Amino acid sequence: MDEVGRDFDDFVTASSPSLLRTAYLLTGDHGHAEDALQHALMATARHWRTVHTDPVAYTRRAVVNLAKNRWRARSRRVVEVSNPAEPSYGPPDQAVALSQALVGALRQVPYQQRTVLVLRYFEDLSIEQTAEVLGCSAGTVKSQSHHGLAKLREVIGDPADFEEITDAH
Amino acid sequence: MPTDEELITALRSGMQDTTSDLNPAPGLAAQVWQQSRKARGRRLAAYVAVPVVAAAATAIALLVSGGSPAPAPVAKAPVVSSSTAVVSSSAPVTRSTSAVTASPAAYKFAKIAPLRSCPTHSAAGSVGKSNSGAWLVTPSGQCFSFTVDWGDGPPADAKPLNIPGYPDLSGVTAGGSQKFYLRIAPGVDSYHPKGGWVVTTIAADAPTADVVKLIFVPNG
Repeated sequence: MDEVGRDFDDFVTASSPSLLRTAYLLTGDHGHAEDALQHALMATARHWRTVHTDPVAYTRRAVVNLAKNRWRARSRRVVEVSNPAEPSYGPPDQAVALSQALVGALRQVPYQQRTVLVLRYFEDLSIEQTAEVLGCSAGTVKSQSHHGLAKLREVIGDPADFEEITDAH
Repeated sequence: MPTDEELITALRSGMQDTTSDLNPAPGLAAQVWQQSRKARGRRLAAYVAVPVVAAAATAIALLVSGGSPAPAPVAKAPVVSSSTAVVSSSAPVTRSTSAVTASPAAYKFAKIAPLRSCPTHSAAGSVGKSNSGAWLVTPSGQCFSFTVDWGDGPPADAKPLNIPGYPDLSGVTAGGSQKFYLRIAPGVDSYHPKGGWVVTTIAADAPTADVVKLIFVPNG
């Protein structure tokens, strides 16, 4: 591998775990997430000379777009059942139960809203950075974030259920 | 009900916990880098050395009507190509369908007579293009004419073709013909810099997997 290839290697090593996790949260499927990441990295590699100054932003945009395509394609196919999360051993904490329920509920949030939630609260991007990735205005990001959180609330229902789970143990 | 702050804190925690075990495969960088170099080589080869079915690469669609196997070959010397692919499906896609379908340009050869047969001595497993249109000969020796065009994305009733090495390829069979929908990545075609959809139309009785493998480079 030449010097340019080594630069690319360094970039992938540093950034790919986070990008893979983002892709997973967006697609809800490990295989699709890996595909999206690999294709996004291919695009980055092809355009390395022009994007090497900020490859993370370029690749993140590609991942988001690819994940959207995957999500659309998946929605047209027979529903795939994802593997359930590993069971936790020991009494579940209420906060843990709520966190797990929220991640599950995230898949029921419309894609654009979910993307905003993932970019804002997993990638810790600012409103402006999120708007840049999605190619929309800051106002749209705020609005989508608001609606996304509202949808999450709607999906998870009453948090008292989580208290009962805790109490049951 | 939890406040926004509480909800966001729980969501952050859940996303971190759920994904903490996810890591890319070792050697991903080297693998991607090598694939990108190979893909670049294939694209150059397709542009320079293989004018066959260059419609996809040059954004010129070939209009070839008909599609039934024709047993009587014309007496003209064949222009036979190898089974080289013209369109690479390995190129990554970074645009959504809506961006692609905004204004697909289509160029057609007007008033060209239907291709009646494959050229004489066409080898099995070959693809070619003559002034009359594009054709292919399946490995079993059947001749089919086909059309390659830019178009909209697949319709709602398109079904995945499930051909190994060709993910996200879908098709529809209706009215005696079948159509394959293949997404072209942005940057691959200079006439369609935003990418788009290539639609291949061929007779319904053509063996789908053979046709796809003859025309397109497998993904990866």
